[in-house]
Amino acid sequence: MKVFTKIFMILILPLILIGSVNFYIDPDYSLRNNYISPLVASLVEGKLIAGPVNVNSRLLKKEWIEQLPLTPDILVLGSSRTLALSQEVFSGRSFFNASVTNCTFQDMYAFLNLVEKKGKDLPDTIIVCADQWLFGNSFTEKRWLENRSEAIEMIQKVGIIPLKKFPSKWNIDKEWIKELFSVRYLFRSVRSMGKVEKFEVCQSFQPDKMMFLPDGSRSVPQRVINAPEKEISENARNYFNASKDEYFTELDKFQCTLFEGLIKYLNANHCKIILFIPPYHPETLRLLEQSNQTSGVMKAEIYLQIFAQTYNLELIGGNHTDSLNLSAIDFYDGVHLKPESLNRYFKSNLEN
Amino acid sequence: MLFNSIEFVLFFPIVLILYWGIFNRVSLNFRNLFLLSASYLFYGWWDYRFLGLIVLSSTGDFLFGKYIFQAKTQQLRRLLLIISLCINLSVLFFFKYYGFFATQLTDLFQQMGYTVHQTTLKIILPVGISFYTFQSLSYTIDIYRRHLEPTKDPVAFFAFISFFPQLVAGPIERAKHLLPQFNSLKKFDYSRASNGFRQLLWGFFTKIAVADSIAPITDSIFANYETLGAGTLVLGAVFFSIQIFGDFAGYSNIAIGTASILGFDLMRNFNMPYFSRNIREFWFRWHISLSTWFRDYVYIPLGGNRCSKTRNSINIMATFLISGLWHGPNWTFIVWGLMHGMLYLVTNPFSTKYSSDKLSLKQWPSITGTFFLVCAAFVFFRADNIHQALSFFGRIFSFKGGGDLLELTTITKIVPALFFSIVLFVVEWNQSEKKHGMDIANFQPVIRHSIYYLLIFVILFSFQTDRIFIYFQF
Repeated sequence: MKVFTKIFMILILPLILIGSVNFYIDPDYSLRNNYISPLVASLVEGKLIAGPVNVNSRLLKKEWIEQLPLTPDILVLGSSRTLALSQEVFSGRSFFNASVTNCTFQDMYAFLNLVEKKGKDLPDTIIVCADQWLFGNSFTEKRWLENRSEAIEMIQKVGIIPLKKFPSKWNIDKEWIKELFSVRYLFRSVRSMGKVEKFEVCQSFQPDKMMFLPDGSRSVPQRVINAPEKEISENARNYFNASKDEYFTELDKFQCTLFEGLIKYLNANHCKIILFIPPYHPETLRLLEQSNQTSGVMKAEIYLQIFAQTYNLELIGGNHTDSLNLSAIDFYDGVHLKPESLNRYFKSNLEN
Repeated sequence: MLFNSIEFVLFFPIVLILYWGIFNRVSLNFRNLFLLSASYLFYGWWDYRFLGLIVLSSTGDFLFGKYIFQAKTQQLRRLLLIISLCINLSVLFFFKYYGFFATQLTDLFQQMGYTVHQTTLKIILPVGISFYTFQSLSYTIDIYRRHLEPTKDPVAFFAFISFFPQLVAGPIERAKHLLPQFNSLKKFDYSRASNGFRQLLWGFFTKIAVADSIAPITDSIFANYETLGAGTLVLGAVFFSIQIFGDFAGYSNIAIGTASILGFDLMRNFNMPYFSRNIREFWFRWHISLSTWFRDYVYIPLGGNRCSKTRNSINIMATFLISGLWHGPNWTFIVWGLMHGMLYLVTNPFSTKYSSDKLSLKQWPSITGTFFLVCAAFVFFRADNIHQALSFFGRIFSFKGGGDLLELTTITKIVPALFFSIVLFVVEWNQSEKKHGMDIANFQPVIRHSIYYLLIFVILFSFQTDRIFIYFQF
């Protein structure tokens, strides 16, 4: 009995306390998902949502796609680098932006599967954001496992890769457990007690807040976008120092197979594919080009150019801003174009 | 399965309950069979296909041990031992060194003007292969030397080879010490289990709070060394030395603590190595299970010190060379081993034999000097290749300015890493008479429990990712 009491007091009680506080306050919306359904209901009705930056975007987009009234004409599969791409570029056609932060090819498969399940046909046009890091082996995003069954079902349908190569959902469940008992999260929870930012339904666009728009796009607060140029350059440099995603020198075969399988499937289903290579801030690209550990980024661009040519795909974008009529002022950090610049770039290039 | 993973946090309590609640009460065979199954589950969680290697190694050495013991002539005994060594070392060589030697030979032939097409095989290195192979080897060698009688119980032997607390990263146990512990049922000893729990907690602290906090900083410094100033690079070398100690000593403490809670006694693997006063002493304190293995099975058979000074020096260098190679198929490890051999030989004539002498702060010049020598050697250990290590030193000794640490990381990452490192050193120093940093059974209960809570808090604070233990790759 003494042993059990001790184990309870020393090990279990602190865990119960930490877990309860974290779950109850959940300042980053990372433990509870009950906020997603009301958000989706409002967004599907065409309302705007303002609120915290952190949201489980994979579950949100999943539910959102499931509740879309129609299969959109244009679908965007991409990362935060295309999250700002909006309906205004494609006026007159139905549009849905299924981009999620740190998107992987598996996410794209999952969303495609959900869209395909909705209607008989796939969208007419699909924009695929081919982030350079997706072709390396350093990018280890596993949040796609939230929608694992949808992704795996589609990959199985495409039939390119043995399923045993994919991790189980337990890998993402573990992250949830870690967050539940995280002391860092406890600190944040205690600090945010009573001050947790809520999602709110808005009638008009609120530039100072993170906004979810009914077309699936997302806008970040203006203070981030309109930061001083010096600060943005600093961010671009910091991105290079902090991110390890670009640390690859050769293209990863597995990733290329995933990508090629996706494109071939869309091609076979007569979708028009627009391949977008998102550019880097000139300062970030300079550092990437200088380092011999990130040469894979340049190889990815060449690979995509050859691939697009081989399969006769429309290719826009590229690593360098020079050739795209863009410059440092079009970015708000090392990898993200300002929403206005992104939409302008798409508009001008698609019109051409 | 990693110790610092959710899987282990779930696995170990279940094993404990079944072990003490059922299997250790039923019979010895059931208990050992249970430990064997748990160990195979622990290992197979990483990749079940490589369980075959452990089974092969265990079966081979169990049979060879028996045959060596039964052999009538010395010649036959020797032959059987050689076959056993060849099988074990061939497997180790194939999985660990084939790629390295094939590349070196291809390069050599190409430099001589021959065109050689290297047959490249994609070989995955089975986790912990060097550890269990060495443990298994010691069994047959000890039987050959008549230091040990072979066991008749295959289940006990298989459980000894695959005992999960020390299967993948040691301590490398000797059959003489660990195998007999599988021959009797255990009695639950509260104080022993408590001490094991404390050691486990201390291991998690050194691994998760110290090593894992420092790791991203070290990674950044080594990845960007070409642009950094001399001071930052020295800091990088020091940080890596603390990281590898935290990582490996942490693993060892978790292993010993885990085994202790199960009623088993594993040998001490680290004894405050960074407080060593010379290189000789360092090797008495660092990775003790491996250094004593090399002493007993390589250095002494080579002639040890019962020979001429020149021969003795060759023996020492050869032992360090093999020790370096044991760590991995890379020239960096070989140079690291040779560097230690050289340092050992150069400093040994001036080194005092401190084995029974108590540590004192007055000895700080020799402690600091030894620490920096060890840090310098670890640059080779950490570098991707010799060129990188030499460039690293080149930048340090050119005293060039350059970027500082704050360009690579944030103060919020540096402060906890530094703070936890200092805590580690202070505690280790204060507990120098004890078996581990958390050997605090004699503390007042209130203080003891406060320390438990604090440690758990710090561990959960630092627990971010499944950073793999560095020594798994060996």
